[in-house]
Parts: sequence; structure tokens; C-alpha cells
Amino acid sequence: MSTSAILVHNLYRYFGPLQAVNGVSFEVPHGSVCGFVGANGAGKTTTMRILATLDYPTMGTAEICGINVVNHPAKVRSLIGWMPDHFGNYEHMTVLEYLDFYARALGFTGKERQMRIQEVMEFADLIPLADRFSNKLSKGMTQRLCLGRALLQDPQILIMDEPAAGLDPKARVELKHLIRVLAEEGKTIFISSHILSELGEMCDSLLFINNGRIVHHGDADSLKHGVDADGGFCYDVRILGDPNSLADWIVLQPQVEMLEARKHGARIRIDAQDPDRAAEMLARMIRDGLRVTEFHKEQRNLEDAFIDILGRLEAGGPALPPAMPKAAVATVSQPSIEA
Amino acid sequence: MPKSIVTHLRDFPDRLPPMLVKELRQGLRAKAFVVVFLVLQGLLGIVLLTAVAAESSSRAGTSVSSIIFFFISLALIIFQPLRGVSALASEMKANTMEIMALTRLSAWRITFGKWSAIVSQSALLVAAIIPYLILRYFLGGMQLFAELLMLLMIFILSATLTAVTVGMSGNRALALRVLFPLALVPLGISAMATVFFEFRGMTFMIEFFSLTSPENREIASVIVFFAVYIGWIALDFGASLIAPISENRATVRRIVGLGLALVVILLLRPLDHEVQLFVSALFLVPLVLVSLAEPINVTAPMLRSFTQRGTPWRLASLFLCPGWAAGALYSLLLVVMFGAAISLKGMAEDEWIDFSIHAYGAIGALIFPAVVLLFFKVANRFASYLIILASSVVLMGFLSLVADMMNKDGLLYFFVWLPPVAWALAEETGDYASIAFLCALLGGFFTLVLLIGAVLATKRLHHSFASPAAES
Repeated sequence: MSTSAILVHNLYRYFGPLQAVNGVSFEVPHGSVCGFVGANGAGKTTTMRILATLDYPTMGTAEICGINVVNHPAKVRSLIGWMPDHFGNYEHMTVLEYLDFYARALGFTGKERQMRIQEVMEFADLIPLADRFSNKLSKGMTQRLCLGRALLQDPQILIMDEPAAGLDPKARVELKHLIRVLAEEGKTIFISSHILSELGEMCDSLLFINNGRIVHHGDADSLKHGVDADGGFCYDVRILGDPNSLADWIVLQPQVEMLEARKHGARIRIDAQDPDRAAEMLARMIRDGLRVTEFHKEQRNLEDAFIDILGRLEAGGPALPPAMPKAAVATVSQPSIEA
Repeated sequence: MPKSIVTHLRDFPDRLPPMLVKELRQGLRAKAFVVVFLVLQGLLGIVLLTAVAAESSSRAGTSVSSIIFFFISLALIIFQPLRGVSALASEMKANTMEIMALTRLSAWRITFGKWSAIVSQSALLVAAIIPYLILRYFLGGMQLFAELLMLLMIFILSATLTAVTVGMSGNRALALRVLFPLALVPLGISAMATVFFEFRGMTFMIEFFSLTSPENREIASVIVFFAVYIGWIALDFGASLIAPISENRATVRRIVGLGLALVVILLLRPLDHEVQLFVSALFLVPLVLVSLAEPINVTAPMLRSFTQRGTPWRLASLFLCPGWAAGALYSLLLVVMFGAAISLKGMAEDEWIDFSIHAYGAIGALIFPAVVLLFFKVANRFASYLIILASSVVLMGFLSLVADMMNKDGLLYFFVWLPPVAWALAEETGDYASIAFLCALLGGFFTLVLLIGAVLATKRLHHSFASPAAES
């Protein structure tokens, strides 16, 4: 029995010649929120659909709470709540009737059914909409209804495919709040989105997928604070005097790489994960006569981090630390970089 | 916060299937039902009032029956089944089918629920005309039992046609779901007009549904059997179109079909050769059509469930595994079973000739599209199959018309590779013996090609799941 809420190992999904998912492996621990990031067509939805038992892998294993999604789809379905990226609502059916239908379909009867509907309506703030026709709701209301529907059976794991897509800022904030509350309740949430900054705020870990392969699995903070895929930090350095003197100094330092020359200094990368090493480098700069006025760790936004990772991959470099075996490039089973 | 917002959700009891509740909530608010209901009430009211005013006429009662039955048939046999054409497709289009698949609703329960909701509304329409039938009783000349039985039979026919449209609505091809049924609407309306308004049409129906002769009772039983059988196959096939890939519906359908085939074969034994041929074709056509039109959607665990249970199941997988390849072998098995049963009774030479032409015309027509599809890669096998099948039947009609107009029956010989043309050719030329030989030759050829295609496809399937990684 797996201790992970979600375990994916060497997952492949081919559609004819198209390799939608190409040897993906990862784990999501119980009670965590994991963001799934990738461009359109990267393989996010396919992976999520396999986890939700809606699609079938060409090869490989996917487990929800230790239960194989292929061999025991019915058991898996009782553990998950699924929010697809797009769905329509029914004509001539009110919000209350919509939830009632799904509650009946999930096997709830009598008082228990009424109680579950009442609870999710309260949670998703659907009570004022109870008698509105479900196909006449705004996108934000529809997403809340969909979330309410997904929560009817009180699932352990929520799989949400682009839940914030097309929402206005207010609806996004509302949805983010609901997801935070669910996370606090201990639910495991596996969520995909294009809006990386929002994912960064609510996710414990981020999983980047590109061309059907996992290219990074780490926490949002480490990405924001400049830790790159090779395990280094990025810094902005400003000095007084000739900036070339900084460039000359960098050439002599094997652990320092100049990323970009700037008017009063440079953007550099220090090849070390230990912050003490950065302090040591700063001390060495000063000791070697550089008049440092600014030295601060770069805070990249997540979009930049993602682009960096993709850029490295396109340049033929590894997206993950070189210490990892080649086969693991597509099969990261643990967050590759610790905060 | 209100006390409890959900307390008024008591319009339907818990024991009703969720799909039925959903569909009834939606369907009873839908304009399509409300309009049909009101128009029917209005028309029947006017007809009855007019008849009461003209009570002096001796034929008023029969005329009112004809009008009532025409309108209720229009509503039940035309409008209500047409409401099924988007039943499953609308769910797929809205991406709600997958959400439903994650509940405890199986594909069958979803399809059956869709069907039962429309049929329940049809039942409401039937119930709504009962008062008119009671009033019509006072106009005289009413055969109460026969007319009620006829109403029941129209309702059963409506339920079967609704099952067909609901089943077909599982296909995404709009042309298939909508155009096919719509194309049959004029045919249906003219048939109803003939039955209810032509001279003696209504009288014949009343006589038949009086069920005074054993023959009529047998025919009525056969009609009910086939209505249920075709309805079941259509709904089951619709369910298989929307079912998640992990849900294997084909195997159960084929096993049940095999069991029914044995029962039908036993029941056919004492009957005439012509009746045997007709009933066999009626039984085989839907089952063979569905088996040959089915795409191959097989998963490793599905295949394992056959291969790991020993040789008998491994052998059974050749016939029972989902998809057209095993479907082809299964169809041939059924054809052989029925052929053997009919021929074992002993057939005269002219009966053999008759048998060859009809078997080629009917079964060959079903095999032909499957043979054509061996050479093309199509995204929607069911739609492609039906289009080829329908085209060959339409082409047969067109060719026989042209041959008839030009008085050149020989023209049809060039197209005898199109199985339905064999019927027209035999009718036009009367040269049954040589046409039967041609049919046997072509039928054998098509069967052989299909068999080779099926064996190769089965081998490819087993090969694709042979790697250990695929089995994981």
C-alpha cells in the first residue's frame, strides 16, 4: 500500500503517433497541494484524465491512495473529486436539482443526501443560487457549482484541471480561497493552471511538464528565490567603478557564472545550494577589491523559472541537477530541490 | 442562512433511478414535450367535438378512432423517438458524460435512464388520450380490447424506436444521429396515413388486434419479442459507445445474444422455410450489425481476463472480445448456427437457391461495409459502417430503378458485388439459379476476406499487449 496520495510511475499515453505522455513519474504526498504546470498540449490534461480513470495509459502505472487506476477504477472513483477544464451545464435544471442529481448518482439517499447537498452548498456559497438554472450561471458561479459537485462524496483527493481558466479576478480570489480551505482540511489537491503565480501561492509543490515529460518537481519558494534546475542561486550584483572588473573576477571563480552583464554590475549564478557559500563569495568579492553596493538573491517569478527550465531543455542541458541519473530526467519521484 | 434549502427536493422518491429523475425534471420542462402534449390535446378535443356534432353519421366512431390513432401515432412514433437523437450526444458535447462516469452510474444506467425518461413521457401522452377513447366509446362501434391493444402496440413500437435513436445518439456524427431518423419521417407518416385512413386499413388493424386467430397471437408475440430485442441491442450499443474504455459491454451482449439465438433456433424448428428465413434475418441483422460496426477498444486487463482463465476462455475471446475483429468471428458463428438449423430440416433445391440469395442479400449487405473498412482507417467506425451500408441499399434501389426504366436487367449483373443488388437482380431477371451461384461465390469471397482481416487484427491486438510494460 502506497503512502502517497498519487503515485505515477513510467506513465505513457500515445494517441497514434502522438506521444501525449512520455514516461512520467511523480508522487504527491497525502494532504499536500501540488500544482501541475505546462503549456497547452504538454500532457497535463491527459495525465489528469488517466488519474481520474477517464483515460487509459498505453503503459505504466498510476495509483490513487495505492489503488491502481486501471485495475480498480470504481474504487479510485470513490476517492477522487474531478473538475474538468471545461464542461457544460444542463438545461431546465436548477443548481439544487443539479447537485441533487449527482448526489443521487453517487448513491446518497434520504437525509444523508440532503445533508451532503446542504454542506457543499454552504461551502461553495451556492445557497443564493439554489433556484437559478444551472446553465444561466456566470463562469465563476459555474466553477463553484462544479467544485460543489466534486465535493459531494467528500473525496480524499481533488483533481482540478485549469479551474481558474476564464475566471474574472474576483472569482479567482474566491476559488483560491476555497482551495486553501480544502487544503487546510487535509485534502490532497492536484491542480493544473496557466497562472503560475497563483499556483505558487497555494501549492506545496510544483510539477512542470513539457512534451509529455516531467521537467521539474520542486516547491514554489525554491524557484522564486533563484534556485535553478542545476541547484544554484542567482544574484544581482552592483558595484561602484568599472563593471568589467566584476566580469574579470567572475572568470577566475570556478563556482560563479555570469548570466548577464549589466550597467553597474552583473546577474550571476553561484553554483551552490548552501547560502553560506553565497556569503563566502560576497566576502571574497570585497576582499578582492570589488566595491559591492548591492548583492541580493534574485526573486524570479514562476513564469520566468518555467521559461528558464524550458530554455535549458531546448539548449540541450538538463532541467534537473546533473547528479541525477539520465533516466530520472523524466521520472522525478521526489521534489528535486529542497527549499 | 435558511433552515434547510434542500427540504423541498422531494418531487421524486429515492427509489427512482437518478437518470430518470434528472431527465424527467428536464424533459417535463422542455418545450418539445409541452408543445406535443398541448397540440395533441387540442387536436383530439376538436376532433371529438366535431364527431359529437355529427353523431348521426354511422361511421363517426370509426373515423374518430382513425384520427385519434393517427395523431397519437404521430406523437409516439415520430416525435417522441426524435427527441432521443441528441440524448447522449448532448451530454458528450457538454462534457458531462465523463462527470457522470465518475459516479456510480454505469453507461447502461445512463443510456437506460435517458430512454426511460422519454418513454415515461410517451406513457403520459398515452394516459392523456384515454379520456378521448372513453368519450369515443359513446359514439359506438368501438372494439375496446382491440383498440387498447393497438394503443399498447404503438407504445411498444415507440419505445423501440426511441431506444434506437437514443442508442444511435451515442455517436458523435450528427448526420448519422439526425439525418437517418429524419429521412425515415416521411416514410413513417405516409405509412401511418395508409394504415389509419386508407380503405379497410383501420378495419384490418382492429381485426388483427382482436387476436381471435392463433396466427395473429403468434405474430403479435413475435412483434413484441423483436421490439424488446431490438430495443435492448440499440440501448446496449449506445451504452457501449459512451462507456469508459475499461467497461466491457460487448462480451455480455454477445453471450446473451448467443443464448437468445439458441432459443430462437429452437422456436423456429416447426415453422415454414420462409418464416424461418425471415425471422432468422430479423434476429441476425441487429446483432451482426452491432458486432461488425464496433471499434476495437480493448484494455490489457480486459484481455487478461480471457487469456488467464485457460484454453476455453482463450478460445472464447476470439468471439467475445470487444471490437469488430472478434465480432466478425462471432457473426459468422451465428450465421453458421442459423444456416445449419435451417438446412438440417432439409431443403429442396429451390429453397436452397432462395436461401443463398437471401443470405447473401441480407448478411452479405452487413459484411460488405466491414470488408470495405478493412482498407481504410476511419475515426468513427460505426458512422462509416452505417453510411456504407445505407449507401449500398440506396444504390440498390437506384440501380434497379434505372435498370427497370432502361429495360436493361443485365446492368444489375455489373453491380452484384453490392450484396443488396442480388435481391433486385433476382426479382428483375428471374434467373434464380445462376444468381444463387454468384451469391454463394461472392458471399464466400467477402467472408474469407473479412476472416483474414479479423485474424490479422486480433494478432495485432495480442501483439500490442504482449510487452510486460503494457501489462503493468
